[in-house]
Amino acid sequence: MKVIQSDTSIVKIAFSGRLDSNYVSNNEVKFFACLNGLEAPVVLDFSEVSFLGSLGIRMILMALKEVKRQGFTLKIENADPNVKYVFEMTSLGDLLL
Amino acid sequence: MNCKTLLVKNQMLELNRVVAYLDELGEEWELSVPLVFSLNLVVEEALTNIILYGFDDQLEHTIEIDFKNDLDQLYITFIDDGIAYDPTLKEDPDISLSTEDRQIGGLGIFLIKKIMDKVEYKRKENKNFLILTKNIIV
Repeated sequence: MKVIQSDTSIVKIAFSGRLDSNYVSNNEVKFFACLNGLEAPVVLDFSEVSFLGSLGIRMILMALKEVKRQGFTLKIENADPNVKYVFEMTSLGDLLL
Repeated sequence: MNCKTLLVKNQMLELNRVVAYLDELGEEWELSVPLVFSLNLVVEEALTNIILYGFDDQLEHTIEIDFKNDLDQLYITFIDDGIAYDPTLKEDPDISLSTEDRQIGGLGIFLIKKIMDKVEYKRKENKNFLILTKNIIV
């Protein structure tokens, strides 16, 4: 994962590869550290994400709760059709930009 | 009928090997890309559950995954010698709740049930059998 932009207008974080259980255990702490003391809405760039598993969804849901708690929104952009399908299947399609 | 068996250890890093195996299987059996993606999801969910919650000791265990393809149906069977657990009995998460009220977790078996056409569980000779069927009639 990589922070693309983080200022008072937007916090943009790009994920890449497979958002599976191994990915989540390796990146979760770093990701949540980026969500501390937000000053802007969060956008997650999924253009390089090839796979999304349930632990990936779980991480996104936890992030969503944290971002909402701080009064901001969290959205996902550029998800490929297979990844979109997983969001839609779990009725999380409204997170997609 | 095509049959293939993959044996994996109860370690999360084995998932990488499983992903590569599924890609090869997809090519060999000429499965569509969306189907291979769905199978990846299903296999990862089932295997993660078994590896993380299936064993109450610290020992190494082998999990068997059997793939069968009879042209219009694809069967995936997971066999493990872990504690008896029937995931089909788990209640589905309430996905009608708004995103911020959604419970976190419990999505794995739900995704499996959504993707596959049939999900069955059996306990035989101290082993768990999770049998998943997908209709692939085109």
